[in-house]
Amino acid sequence: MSVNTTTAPVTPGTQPHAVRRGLSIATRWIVLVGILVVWQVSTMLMDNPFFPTPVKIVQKAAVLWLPGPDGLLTRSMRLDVLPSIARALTGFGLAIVAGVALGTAIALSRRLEGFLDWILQFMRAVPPPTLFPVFLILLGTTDQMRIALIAFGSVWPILLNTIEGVRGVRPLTIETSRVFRISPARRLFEVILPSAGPKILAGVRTSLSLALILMVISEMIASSSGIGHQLVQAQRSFAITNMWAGILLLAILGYLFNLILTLVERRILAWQRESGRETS
Amino acid sequence: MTVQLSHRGPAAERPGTDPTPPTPRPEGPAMTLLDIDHLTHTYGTGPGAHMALADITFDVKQGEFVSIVGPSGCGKTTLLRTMAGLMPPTGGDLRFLDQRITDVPEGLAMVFQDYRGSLFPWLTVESNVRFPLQHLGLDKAEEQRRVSESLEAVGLAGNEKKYPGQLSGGMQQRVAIARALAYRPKIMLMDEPFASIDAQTREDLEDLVLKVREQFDMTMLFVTHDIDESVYLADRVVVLSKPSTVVQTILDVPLGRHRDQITTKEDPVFIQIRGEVARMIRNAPAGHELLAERRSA
Repeated sequence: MSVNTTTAPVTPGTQPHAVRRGLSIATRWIVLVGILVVWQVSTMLMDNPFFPTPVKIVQKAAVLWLPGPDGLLTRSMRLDVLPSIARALTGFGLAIVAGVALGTAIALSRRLEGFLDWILQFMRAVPPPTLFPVFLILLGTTDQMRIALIAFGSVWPILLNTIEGVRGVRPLTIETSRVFRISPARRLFEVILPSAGPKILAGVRTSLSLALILMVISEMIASSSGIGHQLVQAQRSFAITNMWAGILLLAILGYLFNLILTLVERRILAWQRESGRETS
Repeated sequence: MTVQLSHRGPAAERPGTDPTPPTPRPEGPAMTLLDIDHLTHTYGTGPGAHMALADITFDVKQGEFVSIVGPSGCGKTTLLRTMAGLMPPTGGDLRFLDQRITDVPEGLAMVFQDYRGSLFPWLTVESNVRFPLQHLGLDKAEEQRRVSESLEAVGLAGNEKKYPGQLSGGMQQRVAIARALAYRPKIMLMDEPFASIDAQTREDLEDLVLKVREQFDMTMLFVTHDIDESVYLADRVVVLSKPSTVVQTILDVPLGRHRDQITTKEDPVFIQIRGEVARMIRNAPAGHELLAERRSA
């Protein structure tokens, strides 16, 4: 959005567009505030312990996770939130590395692709949470087990999109790099992967939400830390507000991760946006 | 290279291939850069095999502009891809600087018809031109000098930071030409580079090619299906037959180095050669008929 504002010159012709844009942003905020007000009022009227008011939820979340007056991280931040984020990011990172590496290898080797294509489609169809017991038996109640589950469960969109993206690189693009005698390493890293970039990033984005889901699930069972663990503990001890606060935290985390990914993607794919806009 | 040069003195020149007196060049008689001798290409094997190229023989000398023209589907692209080393020939001899071509040789650049697939859309104009230079071991200053000079030569100075997708088709093809120029090849192959570009832009680009050829003293091999273009640009025109393809004839175009879209095309010599090529292409026999004829003669 910041990009658009810097490049769009204000001319009389664009004025109505800017006004419409402002209106739509205003509408969005009005709707959001409206929903919050309705939520607050209705929960106050209900006065049901299972449905605390949003104000209470936010207050609880602040107590649980915002640093206190001493500036130190809270216990739940140290024991639940940070380990969760670390697991999710490690698993997600492994999924990216493995997905792109394997996907590229498979797409570049026609023989591998023939062997593996249906196997991959089949494995991908297995809902990842059902593998939890398997991983639990193989790796025990360790962080490695949870990270492995996250990585294994979220690798598929990256892997399949990488295969598709690399396979979709135009033969002429490869031929051009052959004519100019570009080394195989440069061909891979500077021609094939950038060319498949948009497809790969689309897969990465889908994988991110999978990674977060698997993070929570992997922490709900046989765990002593993590947001998933915190959620289940709260539910078991009837700390209903804590439970709602956990859900709110997950929503915020998901939103933030997605935002970061969007910004990274924008940077990497800046050329696509620029190319859509014909100058001259 | 100097060693290879000595292999081909004037004595080694095959008689009858170059009847025109050599243009006055300081190096003496022009050396043969590309030598294609009874080249054949067959797709597939057994009864389903398809012979695309039956017998192709011609050469390209240093500094020359040779165009290849032929009826559609005559295997022009197969021929060019083979000459670029992208595809091994199935028969005959193919030499670049007296070395047999087995893979893409050094000192060769190519401009493709489909600029969209050939330029890298994620790189800026400048980075596209710089891309092939990065393994040549040039110092940064020389690299930058070549990039700027080439972009300047094709009239794209000031567009360095744009992406190819922001440019028109004609301008994108200029980027591709600049990239080839910056690479400083010994020969530049062009595969119907202006086939998907509108007529007016096309004339501009033809003149651009003539200009940079002069400026960089470039040897050009230009494949086209456009008869006017083939005659307008070239010193020699290689006319192909229908498949299985052979060379019908090779025509000299004695129109001098300076060409002009209007006056050159009014020149009786141009009109006469143009007509000759057009007739040959319209009545193009299949190559194997021509071969049989030649054998019986």
